[in-house]
Amino acid sequence: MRYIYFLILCLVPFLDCMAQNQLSVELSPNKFAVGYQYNNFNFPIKPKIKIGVSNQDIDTGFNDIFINASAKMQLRNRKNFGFYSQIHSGIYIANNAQYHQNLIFWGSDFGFNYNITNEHQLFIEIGYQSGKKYYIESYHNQYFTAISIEKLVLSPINLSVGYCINF
Amino acid sequence: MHIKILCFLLSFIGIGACSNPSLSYTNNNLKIEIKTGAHWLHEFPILFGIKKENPPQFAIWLEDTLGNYLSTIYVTSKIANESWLANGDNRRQEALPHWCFQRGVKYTDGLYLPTKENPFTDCITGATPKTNKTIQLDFEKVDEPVVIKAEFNHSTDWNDYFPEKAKKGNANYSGGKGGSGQPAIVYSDTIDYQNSVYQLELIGRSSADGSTGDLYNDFEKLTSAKEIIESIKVEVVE
Repeated sequence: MRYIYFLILCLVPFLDCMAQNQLSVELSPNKFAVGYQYNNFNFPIKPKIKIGVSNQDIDTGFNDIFINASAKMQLRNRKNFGFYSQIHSGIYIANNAQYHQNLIFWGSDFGFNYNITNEHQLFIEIGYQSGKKYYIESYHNQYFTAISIEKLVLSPINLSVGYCINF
Repeated sequence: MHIKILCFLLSFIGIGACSNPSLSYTNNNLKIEIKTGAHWLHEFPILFGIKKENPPQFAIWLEDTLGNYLSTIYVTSKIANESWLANGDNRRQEALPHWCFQRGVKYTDGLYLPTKENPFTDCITGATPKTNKTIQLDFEKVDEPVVIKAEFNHSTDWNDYFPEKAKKGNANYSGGKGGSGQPAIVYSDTIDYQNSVYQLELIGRSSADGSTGDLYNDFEKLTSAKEIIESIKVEVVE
């Protein structure tokens, strides 16, 4: 829970400088994230940064952190709904009792947004994500040193729902 | 301009590509090689008829020649962290009972299984590999023979002798729904450095409900469990 408070606090400084920008929260089976999208320039591709917690390592706790930057392009925009695509890349920091590893991941998504009002939107995103890292794990005690090559792999399917507010 | 920006972003793909590390051995290192068998991957039901292919849980550990537990070399992460998925309140004590009882560490609920709050960290832990597995071992001293044991188990691996509907208290009860089905199987060999290669042999199957650490040799009751691994070889590197 403290990670979620930290994530929300990270985005508070952005509130003052926003104009037609977007704050979002999103949830998926293996992650929770808050995001900030900068809309206030005349360019079809909008940058977005996301910070979140996840549980894709060997324990089930939501104690891994990821930071993600994406480039989003609105494909279709109607009064009540729209479609978009985005590519993203980021760093995943795995945290558990046995090891600490970081890996770079990338992916692409398609999204559908439903405009409740001009300010409030709901969205759903589905896409593909690639993140895999081989690392050496070793353990030493009075009897032996054991070494093994282990693998950290992120879920290839990215499916999330969320809410965003435009400022 | 769009293309330049997208190319910049796509360049992260190159960063994301990973280089594989490799093990490098020196004299008298041991190379433990697990070769997967025909039943290494087992279908585990998730939801609405959707099944997922799961590798087994396993542990590899050392004992002295008198049967006393010394240390664990490797254990898979679900049992080390109690990070089972969809197990409800079931602690899965039938998963690797021989390893649990040989370790002899009792936790707050009276079971010999690590917990989420007290995960087992005194060994190498990882997600179970879906392919062959190799571990490098370097003993501090080689003046006495040691016994290497390995225990493997699938969940929901039912057969006619260990059915899902077996009643608790019966000899063939193996944890009920979400339980093991066929019990864990244990392999062993004594490493005395007299040979260059050792093949761990099947020495028994564990308690079906995980209530004891005893081994049984009624192998005729095991079907697919005997095909989880093809071989476990320990090679002395020269």
